[in-house]
Amino acid sequence: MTSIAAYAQAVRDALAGHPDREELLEDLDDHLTEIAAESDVPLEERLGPPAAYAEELAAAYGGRPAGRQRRRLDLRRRLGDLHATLLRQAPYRALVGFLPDLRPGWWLLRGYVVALLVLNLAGGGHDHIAPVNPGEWVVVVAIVCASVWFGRRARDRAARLLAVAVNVVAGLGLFGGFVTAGHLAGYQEELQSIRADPRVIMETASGVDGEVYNIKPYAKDGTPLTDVYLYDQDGNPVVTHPENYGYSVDRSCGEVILNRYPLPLVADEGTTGESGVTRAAPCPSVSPASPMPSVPPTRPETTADVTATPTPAEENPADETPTDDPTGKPAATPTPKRSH
Amino acid sequence: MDSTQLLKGVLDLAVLAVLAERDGYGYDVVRRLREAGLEEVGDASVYGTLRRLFKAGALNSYVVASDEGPHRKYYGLNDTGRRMYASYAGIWASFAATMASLVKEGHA
Repeated sequence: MTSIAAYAQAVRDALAGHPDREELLEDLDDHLTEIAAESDVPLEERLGPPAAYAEELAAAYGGRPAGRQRRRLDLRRRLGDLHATLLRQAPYRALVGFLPDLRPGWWLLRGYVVALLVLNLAGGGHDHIAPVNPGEWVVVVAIVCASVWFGRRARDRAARLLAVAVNVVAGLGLFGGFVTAGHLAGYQEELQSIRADPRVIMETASGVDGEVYNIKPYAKDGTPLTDVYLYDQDGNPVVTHPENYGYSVDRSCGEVILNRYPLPLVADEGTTGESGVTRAAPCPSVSPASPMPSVPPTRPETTADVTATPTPAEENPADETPTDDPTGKPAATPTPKRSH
Repeated sequence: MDSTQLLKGVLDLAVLAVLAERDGYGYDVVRRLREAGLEEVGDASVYGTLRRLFKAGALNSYVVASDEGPHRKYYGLNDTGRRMYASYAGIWASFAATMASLVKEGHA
């Protein structure tokens, strides 16, 4: 009985890589017992060595393993043929000759990419494309060294498979890095375009919910002020974005200067909560002789005074107060008073 | 020329023919093939062929208790197996006739 079990086990071992092994060998033991019962001659003598028996069994069973292997070999042979054909072309030959020179560079890049992948995954989904602190630099240097060491060592089959896997991961990571870099570049561009816009945009800096879309100035005695022009330290108009909060500027009385506060706002449809909204008031009667200024009206009486003598800034550099345009035409860029 | 080479191509048909006669367990099929004159048939080849035909859905199987030895797994043709047998038998008859007429002169 033990010889039967040993023989069956040897056949099983010989078929270790067979995908249908269990199915194929399901009743092998019973079958061998039946054969053994018929004669005293040992199984090895009657059936041949277990390895040969296993081979014959697999050949008769046929199916996937042999076919798949053959297809793979076919593919490999075809690729080999293609390679041989292309090798006759000088440019391909030169490229193939040159590739090994690129290997150390790839080891470095591979280490860097894998390190960044590890850091980004460990950091919970950041999209750094460069290390951001000394700790991360240490990790990057360590993994790059490991990558180079791994690239230089002798290759057995397992190491080659691992190298292929790591290279694929690094390749995908590199692609992901390019995509991320593209996004970041786009973001930078957006920032640049925002910086190029001279207007000041109110960020959500104060208020109960941090939402500022209108400004209501008051005088020291508590009197609400109207038509107050706000500028930042560089002379850029300070504007808010009420449209982001469900309000729009009421333009029923004509074009509105966006840095004159409080802004006349009307709630868009569906907007609730009217606090802070200046309802559209009756249109103020504006004298046609005094057009609306968009420069700090430091001396509003001069805006209509065309007889005032202009004081060129070059002649009096100490005077940094904005010079009014004697024509009364709104100046695009006022000379600001720099008081930081 | 070795008859085992020829046998490889027709082993499916031989096994189907044996089982068409009556159901049998693995070693029984081997023995009956040998008794029929296919003395060189390999045990592993028959066993592997049985498992393959079973997996292909051509055979049904059932276990029968045995007094003198282990339980025996019997194989028999189901409808698929019978259709397969008829189809293979037709191909074989045609092939054998062709070969017989081809090699007549060499035999003479």
